[in-house]
Amino acid sequence: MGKFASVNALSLPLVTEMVEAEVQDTDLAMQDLIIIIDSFTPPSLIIPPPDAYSLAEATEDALIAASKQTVLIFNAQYPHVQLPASNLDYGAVLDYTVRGDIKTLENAISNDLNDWGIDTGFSDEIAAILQPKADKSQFTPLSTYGKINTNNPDNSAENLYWVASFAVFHLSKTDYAVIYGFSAAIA
Amino acid sequence: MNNQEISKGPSILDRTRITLREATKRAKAWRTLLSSIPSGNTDIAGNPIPLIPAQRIFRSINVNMDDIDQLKKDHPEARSIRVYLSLPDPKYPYNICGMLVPVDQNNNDMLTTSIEGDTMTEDEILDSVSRSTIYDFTMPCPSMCDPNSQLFNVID
Repeated sequence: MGKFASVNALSLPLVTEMVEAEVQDTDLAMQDLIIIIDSFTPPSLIIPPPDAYSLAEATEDALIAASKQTVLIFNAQYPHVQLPASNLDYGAVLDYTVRGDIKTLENAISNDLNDWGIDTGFSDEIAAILQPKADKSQFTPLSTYGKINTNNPDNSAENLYWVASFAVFHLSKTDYAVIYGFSAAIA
Repeated sequence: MNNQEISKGPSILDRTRITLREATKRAKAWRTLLSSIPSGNTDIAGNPIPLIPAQRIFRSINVNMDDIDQLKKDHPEARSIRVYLSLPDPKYPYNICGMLVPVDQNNNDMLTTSIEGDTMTEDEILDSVSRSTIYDFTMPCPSMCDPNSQLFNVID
């Protein structure tokens, strides 16, 4: 899929800096980032971008908006599931290519699940759902969700619940990256 | 016609079903219409800029089945639900939200509940969340979309 830059593994300033370094067409990237921020912010909380809005500020705001949107959708979609505060990853996928190597997405999900004490065996299944959605999103910021039975012999009703938010944006007319948020929990 | 005869015929779902081809055509017509609304501005090349960016074209409203079940439980007297479209902030014409309202057997919107002995004024009721029966639990697309769906596709 591309090169994952996770805020959890790195830091928000570092991921912001990495995205900024990849942007070649600032106007195009800014347009997309502002749409991402608007899309991933509840309407009542949207504020117009300030006059002097830098690429770094827009990138950071888009990353934060994706993270908040992911938690918001998780709680709306699965009100009966307690989402631990730590079970959230967000960041950017640099060098994103449509129908790119799905292994990078599987590895990123696997790392997250591992960090959250969840069986990493589900990462392939989640990646197989997510990658085609990202590929077909055509720059529309989206959220999606899924539920997988964990096949726990002691609890047949146990499921893994997950939510992802993502948005493809332009680095240049021909190069793209993705802003993402991802959460999962077992209940 | 008695009840038995009615149950033998096609259900309301059967009678209102439309084909995927027809649905795709309708969804595309909607997206085309929205994308053709001009903002009044032009780009550097002089081309008109649409009011709604392609990425933000409002397509659908996602409603959680659990929320529908809860609504039926809380309003057993309701005969239907009505989804009003709304704009929380007119500065963002593409941030369309659904407002869900139970509807009674006489096709009246059920907008507020009355509580016995309540002394609230009409004006106070307007600002009371506890007295309101208008719900904002729908999730619009974007961003709650299925990009794999034939009904989603961005304007070609």
